[in-house]
Amino acid sequence: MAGNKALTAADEYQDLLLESPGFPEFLLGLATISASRLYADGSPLECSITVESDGVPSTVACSSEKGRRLDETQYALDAGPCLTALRGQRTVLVNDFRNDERWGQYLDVITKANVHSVLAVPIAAAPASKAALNCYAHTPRAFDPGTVALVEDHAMSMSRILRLALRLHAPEVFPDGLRAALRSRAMVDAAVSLVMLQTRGGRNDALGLLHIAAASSNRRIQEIAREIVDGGRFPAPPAGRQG
Amino acid sequence: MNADWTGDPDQLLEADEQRREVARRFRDTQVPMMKLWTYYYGLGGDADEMSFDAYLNEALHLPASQVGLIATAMRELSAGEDL
Repeated sequence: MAGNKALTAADEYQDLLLESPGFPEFLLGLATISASRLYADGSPLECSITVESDGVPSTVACSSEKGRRLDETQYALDAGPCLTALRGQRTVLVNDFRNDERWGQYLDVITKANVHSVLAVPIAAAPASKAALNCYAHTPRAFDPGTVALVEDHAMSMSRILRLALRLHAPEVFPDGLRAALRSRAMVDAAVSLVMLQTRGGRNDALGLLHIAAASSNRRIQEIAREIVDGGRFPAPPAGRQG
Repeated sequence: MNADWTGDPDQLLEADEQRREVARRFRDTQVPMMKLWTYYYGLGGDADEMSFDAYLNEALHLPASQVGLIATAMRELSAGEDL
């Protein structure tokens, strides 16, 4: 039955967040991890994760192409177990689509895809966003109560990292200008730290060296900082202030 | 308002003059205060926005290193370098 390893894998999630260039890649990684961990009725599941912001499905990631098509159909019809779980923030279990009349047109699509049961569980996310994990199985009644509990645990274990990812990647939190300033600041701080180490001097003196190097070569401070960080090339200290 | 000045009184005139020049350039560039502060922060600037604002309105003095960064931020921004 549930050959489940839905233990908290904080390190794995953190690595995923650090290595993902953007939110879609991160979400795809989460869906893939889910599919690799969750089983029902002895078979692996197809998993997808949906994140909805302000009532609009903003990001969808699926562990398989079939899962992606099934999810997209739900959004096209604006109805389905995953959207119900997401919007109501409650677990939705469909034991057998053939005997379930709740889903209207979606039923045709999902039975053609040879999917018989679905489990959709909410993932607690930021206040402005809602998320859900969707699991598709090819047999009826694939999800016994034990499996449902494990999938719910797994969804809960992803909540923290998902909220972090939403904060990190949310465009409204860091508009482009602020992002650029943060990157620049990180670069300058790293360069200043290196100059301080080399000159055994204070922060102000190190900043002053960067400033003088930029002004004397008519280049931007950020360029000087990048050179220092990338190549370990330090600007020459001005006369009388030899480190 | 020079109550914040703790350095050599002879250097005060020089600092006042420099501040007047920086403030004048700020008015001329018409860069929004917030945008300039954000850029200055990116260069490693440490002054908070309120002190920064006060400096550019000639109501407060800042350490020479910060003044240098403000001047550089204006130079880089007005040279067409966008954030």
